[in-house]
Amino acid sequence: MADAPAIALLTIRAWCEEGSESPLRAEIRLTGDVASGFQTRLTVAHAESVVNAVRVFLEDVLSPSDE
Amino acid sequence: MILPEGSQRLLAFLALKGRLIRRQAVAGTLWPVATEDHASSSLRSALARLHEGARAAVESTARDLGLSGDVTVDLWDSRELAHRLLAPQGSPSAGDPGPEAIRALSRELLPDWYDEWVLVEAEDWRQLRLHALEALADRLAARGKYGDAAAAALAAVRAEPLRESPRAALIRVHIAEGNPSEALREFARYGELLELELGVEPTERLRALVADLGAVTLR
Repeated sequence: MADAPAIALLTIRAWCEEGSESPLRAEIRLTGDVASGFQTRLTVAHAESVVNAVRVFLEDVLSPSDE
Repeated sequence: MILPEGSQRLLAFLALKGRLIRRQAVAGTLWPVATEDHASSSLRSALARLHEGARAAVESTARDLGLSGDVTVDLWDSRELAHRLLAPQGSPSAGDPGPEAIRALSRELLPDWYDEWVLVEAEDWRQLRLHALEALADRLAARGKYGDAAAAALAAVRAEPLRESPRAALIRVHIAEGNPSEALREFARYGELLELELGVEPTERLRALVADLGAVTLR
């Protein structure tokens, strides 16, 4: 039986720190295989950083895994 | 006794819902990528594999599933505690919340589970318990229980190190206890962390909290 494909997962928890010059806070957690749990966690303060993280995540999902 | 994974997930799902759920909905949520027939079959299997004690905890009809009325779930008690702490000051409280309350509010919900239905509930509980820990810190400090108040605030800080409101709660405890130097140290630690991790400064609101305590060094 063929192995089931790994499921990648990314979650973004976002909130607003009122009164800050850069109020966005987004905690990103991600993994290339949900069976292994979250492997990377980072918090960012700019929307572009969130977009970049999502882009890289999706590129990794689409790229073949390294041996 | 260790339950099979499917049975564990079933009990956890029913516990989180806290009410009767249509069997179809249970099966579809727990086995989202399976066909309806396979999901139903997996649900029947999960129910069949419950040992006697666990089976008695499930109320099962032809249509619905839920936990039996005599089952208690620690999360329900913790949620109730959190809501009591967040209620207006005039509301009655049961007992004097202290270390046990801090422990209950410090527990994450199913931290190593990544099912979608768990993630949403876990985030909901996370926000509730963090706000409750901050409220508990303020309440304990007002009663002069500074050690427990600091513990409550620290529990919230540990859960969200970059969030400002738990730091503000901790700083308020230090100020209330008459430790301005400790308050300033906490402010400095937080400022350094924000700079290192995010390249931002604390808000004016937080700076105002420590402004009268001594020198507040701005970048």
